[in-house]
Amino acid sequence: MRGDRWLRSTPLRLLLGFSLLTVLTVLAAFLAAWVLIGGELRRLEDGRILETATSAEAVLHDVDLTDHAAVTNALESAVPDDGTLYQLTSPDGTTLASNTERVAIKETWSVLPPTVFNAGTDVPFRVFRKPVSGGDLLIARPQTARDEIDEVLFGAFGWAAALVLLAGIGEGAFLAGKAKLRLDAIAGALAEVGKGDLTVRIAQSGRQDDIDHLVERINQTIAQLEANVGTLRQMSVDIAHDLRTPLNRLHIRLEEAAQHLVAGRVPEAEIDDALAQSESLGAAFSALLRIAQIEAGARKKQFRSVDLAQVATEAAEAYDLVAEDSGMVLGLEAIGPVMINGDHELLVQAIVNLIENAICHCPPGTQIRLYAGANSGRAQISVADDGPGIPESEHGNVQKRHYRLERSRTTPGFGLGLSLVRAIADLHGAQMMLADTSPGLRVTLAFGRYPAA
Amino acid sequence: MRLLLIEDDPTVSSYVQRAMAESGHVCDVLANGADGLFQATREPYDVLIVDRLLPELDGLSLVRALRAAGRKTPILFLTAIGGVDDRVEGLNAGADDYLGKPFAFSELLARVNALSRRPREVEQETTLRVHDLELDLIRHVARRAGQAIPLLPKEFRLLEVLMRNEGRVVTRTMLLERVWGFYFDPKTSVVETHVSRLRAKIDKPFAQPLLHTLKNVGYTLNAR
Repeated sequence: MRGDRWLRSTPLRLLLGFSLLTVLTVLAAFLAAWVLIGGELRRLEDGRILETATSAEAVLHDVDLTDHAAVTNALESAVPDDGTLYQLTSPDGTTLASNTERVAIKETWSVLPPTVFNAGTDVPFRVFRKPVSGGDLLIARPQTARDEIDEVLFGAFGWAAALVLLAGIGEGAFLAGKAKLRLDAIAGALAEVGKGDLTVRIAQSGRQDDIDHLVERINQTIAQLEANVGTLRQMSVDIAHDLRTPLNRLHIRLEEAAQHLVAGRVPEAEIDDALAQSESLGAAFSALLRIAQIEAGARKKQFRSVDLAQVATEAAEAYDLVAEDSGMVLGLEAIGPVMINGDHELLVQAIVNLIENAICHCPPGTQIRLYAGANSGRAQISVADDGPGIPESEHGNVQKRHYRLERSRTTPGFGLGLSLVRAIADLHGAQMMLADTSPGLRVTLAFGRYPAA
Repeated sequence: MRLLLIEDDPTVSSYVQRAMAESGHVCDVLANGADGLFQATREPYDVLIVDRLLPELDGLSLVRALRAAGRKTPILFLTAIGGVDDRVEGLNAGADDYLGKPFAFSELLARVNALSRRPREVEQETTLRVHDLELDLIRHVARRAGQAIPLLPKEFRLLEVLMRNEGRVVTRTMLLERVWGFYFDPKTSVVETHVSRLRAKIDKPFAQPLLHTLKNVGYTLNAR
């Protein structure tokens, strides 16, 4: 089991694989050297054989070939005494002189095993045949150098391969052990996270290597998770808090209705109000669900090409009369087309939310200005008013879910408007900016570079 | 009108069945998708009301199967799966309308009514007429008693939806969807504002009112 775990260690496997590859590379290098050196050695050896043959032919020139002793003498003097064998035969096949067993061959160059010559060595012989005047001269030399080189090369290769493999296994085990410590730390931390402790962070080695990058990512993910869970927790508390009021009212209304019924009266007003309360509860839940859906990002797959100028125009068409009835003016400046990739329906809803915020929170006489166009190189859409505005210190807070300014506690609503706009902006990768226009507030959604690069 | 409700929650189905009966309609109820599909292919219903989460055969598959079999019966999805994507998915499967739970019965009734009398094959009308009110869809002109009435684009669209549903109740939500393409509930009175502007143009100068408000339900256009 333990060995199995070690074999599954990534660094060890990598190093083993790498060592094997290195061994193969070394083998290839040795083979190449073997071929090259072998070729060179053969040229050298063949050169010496040729030299011997040439000098033998030269001495035979002045000798009477019928005088065996003279021929043998001449050849003995021409052939070096280093194990080189010779044989001279006459055209009719009789041996004229030789220091070895009789061999009959036809090829100019050949390699023969030592047994043929009955020589006391196990090295093969290189044999050269040369026709000379009045006979056939054979010179044979043992390929000793070549044999030695083979031994040296293959011996060296064996040692090198063994060293590389051994070093690979050793280093692999060492590195795997070190990596295992770090991976164990990560696995341990994630196990803690799994048990619900989101405050855990994994220590980095400080080497800025790939595991450090991984650790950084994991830490970021845990931090994000911690933040999300925190938001969720806060949200449940907020929802419970905010929905308690209308639920309570609903309960009171139904109780009143029941009392009226007991007294024999028709509780029409109470039932109407109870219905209104339950509808408003339903609306709040829908809004929450919608934000959750948008934040989940599933709608991105429905992104199409959308003209922001068109979005602004549609919103203005729906609301200029509503603004007028509230004693306000809704102005539109749409310099289009401003094409972005997005969700038309959601963008209209975002702008509608901003316009409705202005209408609900500003006094009569307020000017609302709707703008869509390209500004400072970005596609933008904004809603501005010259109403009471929002103090700069509150700009961050109002984007939070369920946050309501103290003065709007008395107007109906669940404080979800701007957080919905924020969610829609986030989905589109747009920046939501609140600006104090003293007097008034401008909310801008700034999209990516325009025109898109 | 004969309706088939395929819904597995007995609280919802008995409520709808009772209320439909009070409105003078016959409403059959089946609690699982497979039975529902069988019954829908066997009997000629005016409208089918289908839940999405059903035992044995889910609503989406039921609607697809029915449409694949060539049935053109109008279908309304009545479901708690009310997200925007879900709505698009439901309509793409072949349903004609989509209503999320929780719902008001008046909303369901208005939508079922609008579906039942919708011409089966969409015929191209170029001029809509209600009493002495005319709407020329080609030239974008409204006339009442021969007198031209200038309308803003949204007022025109609003009047068109109301005239196409002559005599039937059109709810506020239906108008938000069909006139403005809003599938959310706005905080302010978009519909009320436009209806009152429209009424001032098409009704106020004339003796006979055509556009009527039904409190807490919606609007209807007819010469009563």
